[in-house]
Amino acid sequence: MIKVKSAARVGLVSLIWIIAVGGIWASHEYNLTHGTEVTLKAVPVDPRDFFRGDYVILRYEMSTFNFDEKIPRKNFKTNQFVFIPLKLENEKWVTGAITDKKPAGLFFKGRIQQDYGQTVHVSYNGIESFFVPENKGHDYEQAQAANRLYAVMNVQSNGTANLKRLEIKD
Amino acid sequence: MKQRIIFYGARQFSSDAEILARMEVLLKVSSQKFIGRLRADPVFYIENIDLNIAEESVNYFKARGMDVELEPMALEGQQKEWFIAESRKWFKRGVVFPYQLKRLFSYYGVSSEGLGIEQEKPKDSNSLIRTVLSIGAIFIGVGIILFIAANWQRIPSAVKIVSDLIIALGFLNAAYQCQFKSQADERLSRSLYIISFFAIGSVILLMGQIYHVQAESYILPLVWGFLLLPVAFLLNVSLALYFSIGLWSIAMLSYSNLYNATPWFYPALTLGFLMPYSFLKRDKTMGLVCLGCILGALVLAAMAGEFMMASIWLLGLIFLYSQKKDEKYEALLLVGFIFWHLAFLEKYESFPNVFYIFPLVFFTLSAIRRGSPRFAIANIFNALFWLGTFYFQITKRFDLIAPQGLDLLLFMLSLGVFFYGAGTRLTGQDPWQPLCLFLRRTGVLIVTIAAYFLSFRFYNKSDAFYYSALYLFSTIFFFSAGAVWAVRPMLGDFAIGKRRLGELLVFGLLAVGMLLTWILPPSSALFVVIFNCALFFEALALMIKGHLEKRIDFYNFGIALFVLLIVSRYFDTLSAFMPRSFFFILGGVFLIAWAVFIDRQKKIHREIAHHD
Repeated sequence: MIKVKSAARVGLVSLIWIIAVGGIWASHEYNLTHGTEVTLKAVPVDPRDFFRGDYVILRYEMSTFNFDEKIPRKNFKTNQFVFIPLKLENEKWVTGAITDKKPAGLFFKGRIQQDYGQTVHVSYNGIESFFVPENKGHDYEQAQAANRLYAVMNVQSNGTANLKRLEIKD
Repeated sequence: MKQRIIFYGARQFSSDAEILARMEVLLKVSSQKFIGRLRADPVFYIENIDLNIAEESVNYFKARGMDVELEPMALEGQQKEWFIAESRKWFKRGVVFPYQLKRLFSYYGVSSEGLGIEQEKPKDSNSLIRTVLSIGAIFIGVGIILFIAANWQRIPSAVKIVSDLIIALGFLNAAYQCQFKSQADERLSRSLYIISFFAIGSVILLMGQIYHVQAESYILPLVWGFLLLPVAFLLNVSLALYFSIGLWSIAMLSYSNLYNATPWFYPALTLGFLMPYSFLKRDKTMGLVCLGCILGALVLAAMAGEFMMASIWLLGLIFLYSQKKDEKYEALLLVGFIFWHLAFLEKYESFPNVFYIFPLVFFTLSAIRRGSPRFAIANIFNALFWLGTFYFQITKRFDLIAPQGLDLLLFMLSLGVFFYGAGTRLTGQDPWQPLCLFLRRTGVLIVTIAAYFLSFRFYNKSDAFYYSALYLFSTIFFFSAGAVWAVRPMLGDFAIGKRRLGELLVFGLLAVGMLLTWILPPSSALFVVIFNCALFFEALALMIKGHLEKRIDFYNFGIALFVLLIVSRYFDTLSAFMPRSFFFILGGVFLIAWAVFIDRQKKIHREIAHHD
């Protein structure tokens, strides 16, 4: 086998890696610096599942929807993309009812993860895990249990969102 | 010109006295030296021998069946010129390392001076300094890592990402240098490539951590796998492709775990890219890896009830098999069909899967064509599995009465008879002996288990023996077929001698019992008597057969069955009719009497043997 190869090939591979990493990095930075900043309260989760390793699991009111007379169940099914509209009320962002059609204005785009008939669980890419520094997790856990934990995120016009930080408020 | 004789694999001749003597006389090599050198090296050289002696020796050793070669000690003339010219090319093209070339020159008696080959570097006599420097470098590296770890939170994200990327690129380039430039060991470049794969992965994961990407995200391993493709194709590092496959499999599992569905990208990558690539390159290992990926994905799709996806995977499996037509691939195809059927059941619960008949017939014909009893046995279980699910689907489809416990027990009994009859029918036809033995033994086991449960009185409260018409007709069919196959040879044997009397008796009792279930209600006490008698005579027949044919397994099975019968009847029936102790005494007396009988038989046989 002839072993001599052009050095240009390893240079090309290196360039591909740099471009790929740079592109991913740039897209994340773009999402964090553009879009609308929204703050949502994080609801308590099962404390046994709260702390997996060194990241925090976050859930919101819009993570679970119970259907009744007020919120009728439409033809939702597992893995279906759904939309949750956002409204600004008294300088606070509030989530609306789940819908299968893209609403006007700002909204979250999620995916139905589990369907229990009258209840569905929706997952949202990018805002359900938060990596925390060491020894900070318990502070967040206590705040979440006391309904004092808030997640600050950037929401894009296509419904995707990226977490910026967690805040503990009174 | 002096000659060299080379012996290959001469160890087997090291005890041949004539060869050793010839070695001493012709070649002046002592036996001890010959044997000692053979222990150390399977290739044995004798050098500097005169041409006529060498030729005579080689002719002798070849006539004795030894693998020997004769060659001159040094190259001359055109041979030498050709060798020198070619060695220059080998060196320039990096085909051989300099030390290997010098070894070849020495072997062929050619001087390497003035040929432009690099001299090997002299061994560094200052190895102690080098060791100390290495340890110092390691300490500095560890110190840097500890410093970074301690101050990780304070380091800006940009610095973390860039430095991690530089490390990855550094290992990539180091691996390239080792592979193509410095003639270093291939294992070193391989190790450095592996580190670079993990390093670029750490960059991706680091960005996931910094920007809080979902912990179970499938995108991270997916992207990581794609980043390794340029290494595989541009630098010809096939290991990178296997890493990518592993990462894409992890991505598929993450996606399945999150959404309980098979991702679109996995079939595209496996069937649309990896499989055609493995065929193009004729890479067997890649083909096997593809097979593993397809099977794993098929299993996941079946568990998620995704019939369309399971069908796509099955088609991929069929295509792979069509290219290989190997028995192992066929066995995996059978497994694939089973999981595909499970996906069908999940999707179309009440639509009978009649399409499954085609693979069943195909596998049966294939087993016959290959003459493979093992494959035939596997297909029998495959057919039974399909039959059970087919009945379930028919019951759901036409809203029939579902089978109760008794339906299943009697069906089991008929199946056991069918197996036994089939095994008896096929006897004597090679190469199906293992299959016949399996069918007969399995048949006896199934019948014993079914009859054992039927020997209890629990079904007396039932309204009927059969609730499901499907199972009734199947029971009649299987029992009749098994009876037809089994009875004729048994009667034939009985005509010759009384050897099969026990089997005939048991068979007769079971047939009577089975027939009566089609006529009488379950409340009749006759059934308890019939099935208990059948089991009793079966235990007795097995013990006698084991004793006569000296088959300890039959004997033990018979004893175990008999003891099980006694204990079961004690607890459910006879304790109501006779004192408990009396029944156990009866059973114990029988066993002791049997043991005494066996012991006497052994003594008789020993005496006969002694007199013989």
